[in-house]
Amino acid sequence: MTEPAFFVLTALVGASRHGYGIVKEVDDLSGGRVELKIGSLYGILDRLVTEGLVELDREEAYQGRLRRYYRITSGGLDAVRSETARLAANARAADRRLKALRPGFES
Amino acid sequence: MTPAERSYRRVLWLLPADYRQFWEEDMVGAYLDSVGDSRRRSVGEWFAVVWLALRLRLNGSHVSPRARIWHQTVLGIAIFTTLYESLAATVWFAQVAAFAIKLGAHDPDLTQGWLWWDAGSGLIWVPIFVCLVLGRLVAARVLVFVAVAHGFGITVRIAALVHPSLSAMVPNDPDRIESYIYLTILVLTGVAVLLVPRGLRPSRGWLAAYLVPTAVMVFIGVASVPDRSDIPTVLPRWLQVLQVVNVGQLLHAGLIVGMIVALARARRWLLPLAVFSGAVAAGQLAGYDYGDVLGETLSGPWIGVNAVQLLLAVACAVVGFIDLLRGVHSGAAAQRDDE
Repeated sequence: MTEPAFFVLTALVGASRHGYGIVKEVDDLSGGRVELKIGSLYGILDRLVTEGLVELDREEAYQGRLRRYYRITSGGLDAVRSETARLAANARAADRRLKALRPGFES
Repeated sequence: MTPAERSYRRVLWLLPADYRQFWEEDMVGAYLDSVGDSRRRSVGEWFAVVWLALRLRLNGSHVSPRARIWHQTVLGIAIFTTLYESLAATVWFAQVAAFAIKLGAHDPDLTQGWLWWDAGSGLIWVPIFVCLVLGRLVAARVLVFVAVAHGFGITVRIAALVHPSLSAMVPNDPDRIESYIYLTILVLTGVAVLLVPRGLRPSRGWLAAYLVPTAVMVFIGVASVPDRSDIPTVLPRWLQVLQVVNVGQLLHAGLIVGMIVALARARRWLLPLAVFSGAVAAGQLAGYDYGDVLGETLSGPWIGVNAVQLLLAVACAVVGFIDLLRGVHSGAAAQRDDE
């Protein structure tokens, strides 16, 4: 799973959001590191919807336009859980190595 | 409609129609929200849409009927040409090996390293074909790049051996037309493999199209190698009927039948088959030494077969191209082909 896709799924955990709402949430979650363009977001959303990880929640009228809200599916939650576990395991492994690093090796 | 919305909608026209139909309003809404926030308005938004459009069209997931036929055509050309190269390379390698094993003790030329290298390196086409059939496109693309470069090298080297000056490769030398046609097929193959979209994966049954004819042709090719160098290359008595029926030319006859079948029942294969068949027929026709063969009873008819093949290929290519322009036979006909 790519990092932007992971953040999009994570942004939808616990709350349904519209397109720009997802962009802002991803911005917050990543500490401003991942700035999704609208084109990139909808490429990711299209793939996640096709894979059944995200689905349409509802449509609301906003300033004369219909706004779609998306929510995560149970499959999407499983994907976030397994990706989180994978990343955590990676981080733990790296952390162990860093703690075992002898001072002389640091430059 | 604000100028920002108008310009963004204009960029969205790059996206495939069915994708745009589903996502356009939502994308415009999200974009206008971001513009309202004022911090996110950038040229990057336009580039993101251009990049998305490129990816969607290349991976074949959202394509128009016309683009679908184009993808099918590219895949067909890639399959036919790599299958042809794989067959030819395998049979050649088997024959070189048979000659070297049976006659190597009598003729040291048959065990020279360059002969093994030329014959063995052609086998690179086999994994390219297998990768294509199995959908391993990245591997197929890397290997085809090497194979095309290698094919160029061999063709130029053979031309230089036959005509020991580089002038042998000038375009107006009629003796080298065959080489140029082969190089054209090589380039066609390379470009087709590079352009095959990710979404398409042919049936694994194509592997049988390599394995079965290869087994038969290798068997015949090896069987025709004599046990002693002082006797000519002939087939065993029980296979001598194949000397009358030219095995190589059976391929051309098969391509004629294939084009007729594709014209009637499997139009999605018509254009790639016609392009491939036409190129092979042109190469064959260019390779004849007309001064010598016209007097022979067996070669004359095969020139006629190749001429018919070329004419039919041109006609089928025109029909296939019209189909492509109209974007027809992608729905019902394609389903019928699959059945």
